[in-house]
Amino acid sequence: MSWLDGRSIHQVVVTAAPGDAITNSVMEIRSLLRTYGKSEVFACNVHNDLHGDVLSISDYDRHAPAEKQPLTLVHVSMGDDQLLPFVSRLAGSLIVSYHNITPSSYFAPWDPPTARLLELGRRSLEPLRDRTVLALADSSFNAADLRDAGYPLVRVGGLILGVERLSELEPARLSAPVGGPIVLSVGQLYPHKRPDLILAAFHELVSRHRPDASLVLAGSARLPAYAEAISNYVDRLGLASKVTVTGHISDEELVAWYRRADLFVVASEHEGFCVPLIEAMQFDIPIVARANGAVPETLGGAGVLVPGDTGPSTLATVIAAVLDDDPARDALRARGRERRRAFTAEACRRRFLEALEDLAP
Amino acid sequence: MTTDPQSQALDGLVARVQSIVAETGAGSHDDELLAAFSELRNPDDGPAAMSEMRARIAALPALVAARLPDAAASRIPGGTLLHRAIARATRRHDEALLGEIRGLASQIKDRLLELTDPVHPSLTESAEQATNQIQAIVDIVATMEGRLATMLSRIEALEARLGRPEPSS
Repeated sequence: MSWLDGRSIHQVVVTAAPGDAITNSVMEIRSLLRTYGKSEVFACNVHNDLHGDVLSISDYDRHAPAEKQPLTLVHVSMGDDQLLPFVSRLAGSLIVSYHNITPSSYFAPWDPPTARLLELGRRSLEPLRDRTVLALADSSFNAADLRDAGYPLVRVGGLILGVERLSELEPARLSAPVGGPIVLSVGQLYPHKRPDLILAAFHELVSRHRPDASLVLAGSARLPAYAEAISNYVDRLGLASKVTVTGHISDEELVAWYRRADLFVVASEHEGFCVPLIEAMQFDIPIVARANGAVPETLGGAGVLVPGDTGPSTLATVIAAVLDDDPARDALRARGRERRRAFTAEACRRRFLEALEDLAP
Repeated sequence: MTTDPQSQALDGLVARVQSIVAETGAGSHDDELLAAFSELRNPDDGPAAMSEMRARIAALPALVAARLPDAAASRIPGGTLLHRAIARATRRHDEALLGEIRGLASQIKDRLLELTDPVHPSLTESAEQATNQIQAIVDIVATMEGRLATMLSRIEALEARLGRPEPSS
């Protein structure tokens, strides 16, 4: 018996899109909540592929919970002009799940509309706070943001991953085979993830250490101007034959790259959790990462952490050292296997329910 | 002290990495590499300069001095009284005028800050157009401030000269 039995908890998210880490987590949470009562996902923006499965916020009234004081789980990651007006007319109390908001300054030079939505998202924290009975964070790093914003009850455990399901997928046949060691970085092609710094480091790696290496930047490119600049940078560095920038790829293609990669690199300046770190651990890939945001916390010692301001030359030398050290690579893989156990779907579900227990009557 | 081979291998790697980080540091070559990417930014990026412009707007000084110069004294018998009387007669009008200018400038400044707020839709509708408009207003305000400052310093110089005894012939 649980206090959640028979309780309807709906979720609200700004955007629901396939392949998106937050959307994946929202769907996992919905499955979990449906074991207790009714649960739907409402989004301000619903991707075509998810119509029917995820409902538009305009459909909410037809699905409003019967409870007089329902709980609604609102995911905060980016703003939308519709979000606050919609949430303000919901009855009952809110649980806010905060997935962190990248500082808009990273996006302003490249994509003003996205920068604006990020700023809207950050500003939504305050008006949501007073109706929030519990705030969930993906990491302690995110929890600190929530406490700074004045949220009184904050728990880590808002994200439910399903990374292990990737292992069960049949990898796609890669259309761009590459030789030598493969350095892989996974994430949307966004400025705060510093793909430019990874490219500069890779330039140093092939110039000074490993001329046979290849680099794969895997992830959607949603900012056309930025993607174009990255593509031009690859050309300017003379790396076109050694670098693959995938753009959006299927899970099967992603799995294929994970299975072929020899080293995983993260250069981000801002991360609220960094799901690809856990994915890299899932595929036994040694990790080198710059220590920014929640990266050290998520990595949990299962990778080589370098200072957050590490430049391209140093990063290249560290990558070369890891590529050349087989015993240490085995040790890193073993650490990854240990660490990823904390983020299985089951472990995440347990943490999520424990966090909700704070609301038990 | 760790004894198992995996831990030893990892300890060795960590020590090497620490040594690499300590020795390599950031070099000018890094700067050159990364600068090459910065040069690829679209030069028409209005919002790239928007945060700088916003800082410039916020830093605009208070428009004019908070007070008008005092009326000047005079060596002419009865002159001081006359000057004071004139100053008293015009002061209210002058201060009202300055108050209006200050209010106008304050409104312009607030409007500019609103327009350059990252969540203002104008920035996303036509960034280039908005940037040009805002830039023009900033220039006008800056010019207006400069002229008023010049005017104020002239008044203060005049005040000082009027208050100073004339050289004897």
